[in-house]
Amino acid sequence: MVRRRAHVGALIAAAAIALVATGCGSPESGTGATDTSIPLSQKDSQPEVQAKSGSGQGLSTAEPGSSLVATARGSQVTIRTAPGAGARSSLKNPTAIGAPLTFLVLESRPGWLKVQLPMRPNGSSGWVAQADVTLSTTPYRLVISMSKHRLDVIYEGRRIARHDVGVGKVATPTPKGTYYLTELIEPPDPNGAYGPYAFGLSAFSNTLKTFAGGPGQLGLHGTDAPHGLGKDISHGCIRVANTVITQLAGELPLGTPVDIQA
Amino acid sequence: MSSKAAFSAMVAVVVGATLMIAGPSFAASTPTPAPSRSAAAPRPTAAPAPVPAESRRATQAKPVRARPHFTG
Repeated sequence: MVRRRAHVGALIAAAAIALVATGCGSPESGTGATDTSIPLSQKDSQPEVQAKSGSGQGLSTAEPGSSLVATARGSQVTIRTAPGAGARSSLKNPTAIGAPLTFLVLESRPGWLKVQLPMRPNGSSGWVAQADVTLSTTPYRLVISMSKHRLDVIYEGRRIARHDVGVGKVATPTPKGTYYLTELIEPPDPNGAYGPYAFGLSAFSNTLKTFAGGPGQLGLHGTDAPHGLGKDISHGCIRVANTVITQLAGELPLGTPVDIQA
Repeated sequence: MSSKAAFSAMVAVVVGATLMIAGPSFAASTPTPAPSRSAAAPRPTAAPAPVPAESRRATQAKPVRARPHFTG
């Protein structure tokens, strides 16, 4: 009897050892202990923005995160309501200030391009003949959060920089929407209200029909009052530090999309 | 403990140790069910919009010396 008990005890011990051994090697137990956290360096490189195709966002290109830009070839570009339709209007090239006439491409058909127009009302679009423009791509995109007073610079779908901005005050708000850079101006006084550089946007103030002799066009520019960054302070323009606008002026192509968000 | 009982205990330890060493490989070699066809098949995506082939990378904007009239 004693011998049998010892025998049975030894078998139970062996079975217990076997169970522990196989249990430790099971994939289920390994899954439960997997560390799913992402290193900070990888988090920083996660995509921030996915370029969208469709109305108002800009046409995605074969290059991920890039947008298609059209630049006028001749002295003017005819705008049509549909591919092959009669002329609705025409825009001069270069623009009144001397910049190349540029569009953000929204949609493409054989021989025709639907583009956002740099005119009121905000978000206007029309069709242009592809033969009237040259095409290029921009890997950049600017995303502005008005509530956070923040500008994110996106390159090929990934955020590469973040800056503080000043935006429109309550009486003269910055309009939300997707626009694009239409021109780059170097003001005569780099220490003036616009700083050393000012990009024009395809957006216009909804409250100011004219401003300082202009049509109420919005800009992205430097400032002589850096204390206003991070505040609702402007007449609708987006202000950044002079060092920032200098850096952006050295990188961004015309036609770069600008998403202005609440 | 008799010699027979001691022998049984030794056999049990040897078997247990063998299973402990071989256990993970047994578990790893356990066949897993193949993913279903619906899970393995690529999801249908919307047809991409046609993009004209004639496009190059845009270069940085060239500044125009002028007095801005933006809303500021």
